[in-house]
Amino acid sequence: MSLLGRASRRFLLRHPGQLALTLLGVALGVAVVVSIDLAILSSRAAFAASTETVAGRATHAIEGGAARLPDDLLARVRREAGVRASAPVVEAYAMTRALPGRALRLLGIDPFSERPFRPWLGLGGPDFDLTRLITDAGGVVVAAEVAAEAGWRVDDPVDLIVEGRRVTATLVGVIGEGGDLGGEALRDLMITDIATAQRFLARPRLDRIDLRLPEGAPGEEAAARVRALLPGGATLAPAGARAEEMAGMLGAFDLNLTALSLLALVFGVFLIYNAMTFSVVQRRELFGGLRAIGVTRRELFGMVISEAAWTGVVGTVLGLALGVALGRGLVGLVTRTINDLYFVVSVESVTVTPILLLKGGVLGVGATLLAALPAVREAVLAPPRTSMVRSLGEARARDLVPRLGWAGVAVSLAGVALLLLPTRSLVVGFVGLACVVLGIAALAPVSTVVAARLLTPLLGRTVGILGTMASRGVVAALSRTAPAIAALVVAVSVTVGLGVMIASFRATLIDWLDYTLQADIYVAPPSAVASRSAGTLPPELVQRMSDTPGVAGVSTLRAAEVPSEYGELRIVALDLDPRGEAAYRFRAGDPATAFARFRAGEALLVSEPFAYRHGLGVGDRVRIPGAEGVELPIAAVFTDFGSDQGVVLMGRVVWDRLFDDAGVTSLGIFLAEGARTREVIAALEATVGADQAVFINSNRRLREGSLVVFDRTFAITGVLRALAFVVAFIGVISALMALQLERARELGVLRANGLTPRQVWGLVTAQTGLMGVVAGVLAIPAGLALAVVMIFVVNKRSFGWTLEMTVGPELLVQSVALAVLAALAAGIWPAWRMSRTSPAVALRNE
Amino acid sequence: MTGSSGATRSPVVRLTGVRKSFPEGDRVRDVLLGVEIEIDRGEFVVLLGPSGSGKSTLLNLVAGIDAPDAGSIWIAGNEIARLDERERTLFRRAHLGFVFQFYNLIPTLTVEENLLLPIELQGRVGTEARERARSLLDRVGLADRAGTFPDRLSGGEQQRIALCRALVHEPDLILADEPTGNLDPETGERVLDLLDELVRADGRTLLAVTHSATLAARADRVLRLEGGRVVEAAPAP
Repeated sequence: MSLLGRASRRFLLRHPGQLALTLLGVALGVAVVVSIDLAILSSRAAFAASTETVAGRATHAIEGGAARLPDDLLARVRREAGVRASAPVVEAYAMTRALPGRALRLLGIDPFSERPFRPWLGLGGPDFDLTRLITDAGGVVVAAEVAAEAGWRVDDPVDLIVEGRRVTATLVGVIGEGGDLGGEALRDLMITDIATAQRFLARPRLDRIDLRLPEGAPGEEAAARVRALLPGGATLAPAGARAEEMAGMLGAFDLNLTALSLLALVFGVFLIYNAMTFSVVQRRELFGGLRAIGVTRRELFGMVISEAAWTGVVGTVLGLALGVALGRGLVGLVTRTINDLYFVVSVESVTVTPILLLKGGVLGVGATLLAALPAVREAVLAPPRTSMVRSLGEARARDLVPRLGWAGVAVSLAGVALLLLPTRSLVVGFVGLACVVLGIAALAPVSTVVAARLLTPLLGRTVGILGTMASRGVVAALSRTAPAIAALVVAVSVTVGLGVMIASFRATLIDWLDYTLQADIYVAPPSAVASRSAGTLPPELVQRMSDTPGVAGVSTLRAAEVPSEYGELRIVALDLDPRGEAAYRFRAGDPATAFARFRAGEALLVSEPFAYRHGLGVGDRVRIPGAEGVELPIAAVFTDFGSDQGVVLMGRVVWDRLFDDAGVTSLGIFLAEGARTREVIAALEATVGADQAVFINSNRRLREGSLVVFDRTFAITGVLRALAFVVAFIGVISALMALQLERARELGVLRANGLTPRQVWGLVTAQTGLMGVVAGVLAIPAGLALAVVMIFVVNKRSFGWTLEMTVGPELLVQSVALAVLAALAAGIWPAWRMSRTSPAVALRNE
Repeated sequence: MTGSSGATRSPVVRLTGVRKSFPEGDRVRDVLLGVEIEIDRGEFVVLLGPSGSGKSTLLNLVAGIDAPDAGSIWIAGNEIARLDERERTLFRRAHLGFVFQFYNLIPTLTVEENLLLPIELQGRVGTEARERARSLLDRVGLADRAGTFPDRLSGGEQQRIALCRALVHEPDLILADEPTGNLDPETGERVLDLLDELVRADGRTLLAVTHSATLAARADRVLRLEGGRVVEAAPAP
């Protein structure tokens, strides 16, 4: 190693605190990005694996839609269309007490048709008796690992709830390792004979027929022959198309998480910038000396950039390790949200791919080098002088203040312009948002100067000369204080802005639940995914419930997800009690006529996200696939936070016309005057047979449950927000530390002149407090802007929701309090160190 | 005391008509108003002048650290104002040695490494260089501190190391800026003895800027900076 390299390495090692802060900045930034990536990738990989297991080697699939497929279609496909390679599938989610919090994918198959499709199921292998799967009524098979987890042994009875029906199956065997797909793929599967599945579900129909069609023209001809046989509402599509569509639902969700994780990296970059700049500033004289004795700029550049590169590499490696560990924790939060909102996915292990590590690595090292550039520039431009006064550098920094202020205004305005662009791009939204917040942060220096000018006389009168010094000191070291204040502005505005967004969202949701939950009692079969329909209640049960004493009226709801030209379409058929109409508030459409046309089956109601996603409005026509299929106009667009994918509402009459299915997904029950909720619930429970599983909830409990799901959904946002704040906080500590160490001599002189350690403490604390106040005040507009954009742009573009913004004077208090507290907390260590330093040491260190 | 007669008559330093001014607020402060200096090889020259007279500015100009507004500066046959920044740096590396008031040793290099740095920068580190560094350390009585870091040394010891560093790569010209300004008189005297001895023994040329009469007393020639011009001062008694 060259002597310059050796000198630089020893410098880093001699300042372990500084080095540790820099490494922590890089590591945390990288860790947050990698962990989110990992959580997203792992949940996607698990979903893909389980889809692949289920889809198998099929090239195409006939999907039945809400009406499903008649049993005899399989025979016709084989005989009339000549497609021998075809396998019928019945699919549902099964829940069991033995595996709490998890849903198994119940796959009803015909073992004789299976071999070309799903050989990895290992049916017919040595571990179990195939004939028992076919002949045993209720025989099921799971992966050995699942059986072990649930504590089941072969021949054990297995109690299940399948789409709301209580059934008892028998474990007749276990299957192995999942072949090429690995154990993960079999983790959430339960396999049974198709007849057993149909019996469990009390539905003698098929959900899907998997096909293997030849490639090229013969395949196309076969597809045409199959299509000719399809009943209305059924579709023939390439295998995996539906899964892709489902995975596509996560786009906005993933992007929002990624944006938040990048925020942590941005703060990490700030931290590195601070640390690197400080390490250069500390050596300014040294560099001047080196330049004087003949070290070229290029050599200095090499020296400092190598320091940055080494720090970047070491920090990134730490960050990758930390990210993988953190990812294991976050994947639970991410999958829980996906399970709550989108579809069932179960992740056993995180998938660490080389690409993911490479991306994290490039991002970490790249960000470090980028953040180090100003420091490198400062080092390279160090004039070869024997001494250099710090105030020269500060004079240069102060010259920049007005320019930076104007740049901040320009960047903010550019951000606003981007946000006003008539686009639905979420990325453009985030870039615009970043511009607005960074633009406001760029006003930190000018605001600091103004604030100090205003406060100096005040502090002088109240605190005395030390007050004046504190306030002037902040401006005198503007090149140190302004970046710290700017970082604090961003951190506080993000924290407060996201807080306002979440609070507004929650308030909007509570308001929505208030009017949307009109009924007193809700009845529905348990569902694996909160926002999706699962099983149905038989009409006889619905009738018995309506006749229960104390029940004055009933609204019924039938929901289904069907493949359509809009992608997977959630349709809901309503038979509304007149009291239930108040549950719908229209964003467009005439309430007076819309419900009448809706009840008559002449028009549809669509939710706001559906209208937004597909660019539809009142009067536009929507095609609903079904046996016959129907096209109806939209009568109104209503507010709905139940699904970000959107919902189409139709009168029950339309459903009955389209589908031969009298089932009901849920019931809203209105109580008679004077009836007591608890008593009616008990009576309703008594009417439900032993073979039916239902949730009967009071209005209050359902509302509480909804809020629990909401809070769970935002748990990960909270974690990321906190992590980003921590990184920014460490950045501020390092900036303050740098500031105080630079002033060591000045403080030493003051100590020598009789300033007590306590007064030094007070001086440093007054400065950091002042910085906190400036940051807090600036964070108010920045946080407000962030909240507005998150609520009206990001949420709208991501999910199609319009939220009511709820913001009170507490935003103002919160911003300032948070910034001041953070600044004071960050100042504790530097203040303590400076007050403890002996004046002699401080003076000698010059 | 050795006079200039022992030196060969080929100027190592030649300044003609050198002018330099600095902006100060709205005004311009003229520091050097046409400086003329010639220093021969092997000469020991001291430049005196009150604070703010422009001594350090002149030193920076000679070192190629700063550029004159007018005039020309020749060092060892090179007109340094004509060199670009990088060439000037490489020139300093090869031809100049520095002794600073505050020593300016590299705190993260050992004493020996500090001495090897100027040689390594020229890419000629080897056994010979190491031996030279060791012998210099021996001559200043610090051979046993070769592996020590500078912050463990006293001010006088640090300045002795700085002297060695300035000489180790056998430069044409040694520039010293208040070399004893930070030392007590006794230590300063010892450092000057060494400076005197080392410079003369190797036949090096030295230009020192100082207030110190003791240092001036050792010079072959004393120059004085007055009113922006350099005048020959009466030789020290």
